[in-house]
Amino acid sequence: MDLSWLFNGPTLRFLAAGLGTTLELAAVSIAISFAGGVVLALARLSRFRPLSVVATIYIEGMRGLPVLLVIFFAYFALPHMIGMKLEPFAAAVIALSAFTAALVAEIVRAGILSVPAGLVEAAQSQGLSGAQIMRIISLPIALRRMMPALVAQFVTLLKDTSLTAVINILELTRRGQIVYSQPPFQPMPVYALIALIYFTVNFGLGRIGRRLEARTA
Amino acid sequence: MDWSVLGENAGALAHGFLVTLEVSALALILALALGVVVASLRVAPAPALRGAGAAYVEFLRNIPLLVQIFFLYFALPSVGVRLDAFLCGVLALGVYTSAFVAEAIRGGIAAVPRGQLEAAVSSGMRFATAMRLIVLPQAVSKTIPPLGNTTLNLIKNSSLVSTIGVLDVLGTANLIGARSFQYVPMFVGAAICYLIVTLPTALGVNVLERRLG
Repeated sequence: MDLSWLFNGPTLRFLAAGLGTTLELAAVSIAISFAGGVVLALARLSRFRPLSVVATIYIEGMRGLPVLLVIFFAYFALPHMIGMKLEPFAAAVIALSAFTAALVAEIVRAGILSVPAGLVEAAQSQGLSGAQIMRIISLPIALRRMMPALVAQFVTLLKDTSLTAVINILELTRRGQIVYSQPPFQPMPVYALIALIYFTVNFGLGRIGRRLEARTA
Repeated sequence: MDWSVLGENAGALAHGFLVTLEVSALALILALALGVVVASLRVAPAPALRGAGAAYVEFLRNIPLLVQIFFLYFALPSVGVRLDAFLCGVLALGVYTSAFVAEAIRGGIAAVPRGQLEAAVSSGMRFATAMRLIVLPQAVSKTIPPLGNTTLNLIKNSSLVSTIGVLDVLGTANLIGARSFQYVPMFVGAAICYLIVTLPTALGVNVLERRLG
């Protein structure tokens, strides 16, 4: 079988650029969803009732929706609501971050709740304020404990970036479609190659996660 | 924004909702059946079987579901296998989810102390019998919460069949939204349909987690 139409410099560079977009989309969304997730988790744990209710509704509602719906919403519906056009990349980042933040929030919350009460009480008895205890004691310990779950969540996010192909982001999956929509029109080798690329990246990430798990357990 | 579009298309949306439930139910049956088989491979005494089970799980878990759906729908016809979109959706979703089902079951089995299996085998029970009578009954309670989460994800992931033209609830909302330019009401309608199923399921999983955990 002659695969020189696929394994040549320009085509591979075209696909590599798609992998670059996939990783960029994932990295930006990971950063935003991590920050958003920590804020949401703290809001849900807050003793100020209205704040914790709003955070809970956001988290539980978002977790009940398909991420594809959130992506469609950000791309097609959100511009109508805010009255301004959104670049597809911006819509994709908003959707993936808004969705993943809700899942990260639950991981962070579980991590904070798993910090032994005695540690928090000891800090209180030494006169630390609630915010200080959170910043110096609870969050650092929680962060270490939740690393494995976070890595797993980010593998899921990386897979979810493929969904942005449907709003025409030129990431790996979309570029694969473009490659086989040209002669010799052979989707099979293209999908095999793309699957292998996703597998390698995600399997590698998963391995790192497991090593972290072994170290922190 | 014109919310009346939601009322006018309630029938179509309800039909799409039924398609979502149908895809989910069929894929879940497939995922459970395959998942049990793969989980038994994962704990089998023969290393070759364990390797095959692990390869199956890692392969499916690490490739985006969308790529797997597209593979069935766009790539298989090039080798002469033509399946309709609905079938592609159910197959891809079921096979993808079976990897997570297998992991949930394996996790449950691993939570039962190894000594119990060894004790049963050393007192003359066969591996399969010891599994069935000693290990599996105890594993079930550890398996149900993660299986609930997997089912939840399956229902949400069923929305991906809309990308190959199946008119599930998301596909229907998208289609009517595009025709009427009333995306906001249509997507809100679709979101409500998903939440009707996912919120009670999530609540049930939480209760089970607390009771069994």
